[in-house]
Amino acid sequence: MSFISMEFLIFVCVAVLGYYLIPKKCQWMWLLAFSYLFYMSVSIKIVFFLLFTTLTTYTAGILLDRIQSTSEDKMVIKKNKRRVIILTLLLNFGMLAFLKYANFAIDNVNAIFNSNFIHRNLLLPLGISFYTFQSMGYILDVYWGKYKPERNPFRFALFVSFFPQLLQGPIGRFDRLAHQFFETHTFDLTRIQLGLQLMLWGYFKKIVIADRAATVVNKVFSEYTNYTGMTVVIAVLLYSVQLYADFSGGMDVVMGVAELFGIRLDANFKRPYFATSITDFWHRWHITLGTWMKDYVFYPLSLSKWMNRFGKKTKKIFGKKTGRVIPVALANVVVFLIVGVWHGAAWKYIAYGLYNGLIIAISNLIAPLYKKGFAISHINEKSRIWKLFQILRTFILVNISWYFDMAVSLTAAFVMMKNTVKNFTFSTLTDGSLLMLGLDKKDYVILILGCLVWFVISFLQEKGVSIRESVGAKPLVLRWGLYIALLFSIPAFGYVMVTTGGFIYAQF
Amino acid sequence: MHSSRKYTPAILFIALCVSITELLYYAVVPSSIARVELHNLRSRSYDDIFIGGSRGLSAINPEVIDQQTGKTSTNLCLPGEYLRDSYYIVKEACRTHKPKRIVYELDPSYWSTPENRGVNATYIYQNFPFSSVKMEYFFHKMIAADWRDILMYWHYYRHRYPEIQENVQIKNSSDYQNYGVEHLSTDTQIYTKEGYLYQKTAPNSLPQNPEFILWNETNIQENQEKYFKKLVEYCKEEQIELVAITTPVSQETLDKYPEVYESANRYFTKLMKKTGVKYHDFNIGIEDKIDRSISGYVDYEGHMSGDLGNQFSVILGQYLNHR
Repeated sequence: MSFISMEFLIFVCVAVLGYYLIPKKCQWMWLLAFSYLFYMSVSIKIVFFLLFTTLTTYTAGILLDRIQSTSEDKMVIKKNKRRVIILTLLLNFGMLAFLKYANFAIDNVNAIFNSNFIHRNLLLPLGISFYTFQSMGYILDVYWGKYKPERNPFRFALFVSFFPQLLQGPIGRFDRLAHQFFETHTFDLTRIQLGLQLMLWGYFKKIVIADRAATVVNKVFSEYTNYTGMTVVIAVLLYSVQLYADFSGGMDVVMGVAELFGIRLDANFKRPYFATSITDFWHRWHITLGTWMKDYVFYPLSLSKWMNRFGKKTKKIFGKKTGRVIPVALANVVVFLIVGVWHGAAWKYIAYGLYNGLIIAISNLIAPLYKKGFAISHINEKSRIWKLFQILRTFILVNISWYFDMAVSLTAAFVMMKNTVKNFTFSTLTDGSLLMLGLDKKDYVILILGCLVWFVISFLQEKGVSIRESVGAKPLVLRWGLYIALLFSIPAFGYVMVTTGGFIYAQF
Repeated sequence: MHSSRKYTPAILFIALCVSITELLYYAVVPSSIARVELHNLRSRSYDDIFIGGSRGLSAINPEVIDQQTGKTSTNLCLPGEYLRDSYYIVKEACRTHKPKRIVYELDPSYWSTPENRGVNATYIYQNFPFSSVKMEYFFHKMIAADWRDILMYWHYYRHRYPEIQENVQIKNSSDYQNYGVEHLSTDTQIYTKEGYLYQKTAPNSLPQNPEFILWNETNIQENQEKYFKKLVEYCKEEQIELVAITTPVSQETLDKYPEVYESANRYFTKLMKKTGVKYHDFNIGIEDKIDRSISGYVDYEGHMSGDLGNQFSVILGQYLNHR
């Protein structure tokens, strides 16, 4: 059920209407029923995988709690808890890895050993990467004693399967979501309006901007050998627009729908193209994945005994300052390798993760040099020009990473990078070459204007303006004018894709 | 505040949006033959109904056929009409006047290409009058469509803003309001009252762009098979005779892809035998009856020009009469 389908809107309408009409104590059960209905509408078979994750994680949570109260020997408790958590992580990440990466592994084994293992015809349940990470975050928190496990299996099932976020996140946390799911919600027209506005804004970004940009992106990236110079640059820039509009648009729809039920999900984006470094970028882009990685991979790894020993060694070899940074840099590389692998089973994604990890690691290592450079050159770190330079520099670095993300293969990414500097001329912008990529002049104008509107809104948000609240405070005529303009701009300027225009991140 | 007054602005806002949508629909969405045909179904009764795609639209002239059969018929073939659409068109027809016979114009390429998305998939539904059949059609097909296709169908015609004046004039004309077809005619094509498209060809001009999607047995679409079976079942239940025909393509096309048309013939002959549907492929055995050279067609895909369509309709009428 695509988010842009009529089916989805009807589904949401029925779910919302029922939610406020039934007895309030049953609201969470209603949400659970609709969440499973939603997932079953994709395919009934994949529900098995969702149930597997739900049941194993729920049982592990109960077991961890029971172990805690059944023995007084701390060592025994620790040992038994560790057994449970390792088994749960192995089962769930094992299933995810098997379904997602088995064929990739087969390809590589065949390539290395010249063997002839056949691809497995594996079902990849939609959203598995998201709900597995969300569930594993929960069980790790229970293991670390951050909160008590949920004792009602059905309530826990809702946490894993809440339908708006099931397919493309955001990756939620139990302590921030559970109370929202289980408390009662009364119908609030203002909240419904805010939710609908967010949905509309998401549809605008997806249908007017992302789908239009996708036409050029798909053409250039799929026929990459035919294009060089400025055309490749334009395609990569448009991919940066497409991916952000698509993913953040999808998130706005998800968050808008959740808001209709009175549930506030964690934000996944905070104007990432205003980032001043790659680290800052990852604090603003796919935030819930970033914080998940920080809490469940980076910190446990950085604070592990092994890393502690490694840190001591590096301090001895490289001195206190550098030696202290090296373990952090290494942990970052590991984290981003996992981020890369999470994105998909291909070497290009591993390269994508490694690229980000290495940039962050290197910037950690050369940070002292930067400080010295500032002191010598008298550059004011807080000046606007320097900030603008940082934003531009980060934007370029991010765009380089998109070569890996979008190219059809790792080799293709390198070929495209090489082609970028081939036959580079600004005349490509005016000689009509861009009109051969599937969009006409009107489309480019709409795309530029759409991005401009988006940029102005983002700029105001960056300055601390709350757009929805400030629009809400405007006189009725102006307010309605803006809402109608937003609503009708989607059919008036929206792009109609030849193939089904699903959301990119709904494939994970 | 009284609770009903609290919701008044929201209700007014929705009413305003609906009004703007209706206004835009009226201003930019052009008239189509589907509107006239679906109206005809409600106002007249027919013995024979022709369903199918655009090839049937330009090959089957009901008025010519009626002269041969002595019956009344209408052509409900529409561009982009897949069997799922045809099935609901037949059901809509039966809602008011049940025909005696359904003639399905079977274009093999429709069986091996995915159903249209976009305007071609939507305009047939949009022209349906509100009924239980339309609801069924919606839940079985249109529900999966982009919400813009259902709620703001005018978006497909947003580029036609310069034609608003002309469009409004047409919609205010008595021809449009009385479900006439004159307003649908252009310099190159004329629609007849019963849904036949008479296409004019310029003298000595040959069709361009000979590339088109061919029948391919390995790409049989699940929905085509499913709705064909449903149509067969429905006709049996309603005691309506179902006949399938394939209109002839040009000799040039047939010579270029003989194996494709032979394979299609074999496949559909077998399928029709299995389902008990009478089938005739007019690509076979028609050589001496009409001139099949490409000059009689508007393209290589098999869309006939008006004169050839009329000639073929005589043959089809004779075939239907002698069955």
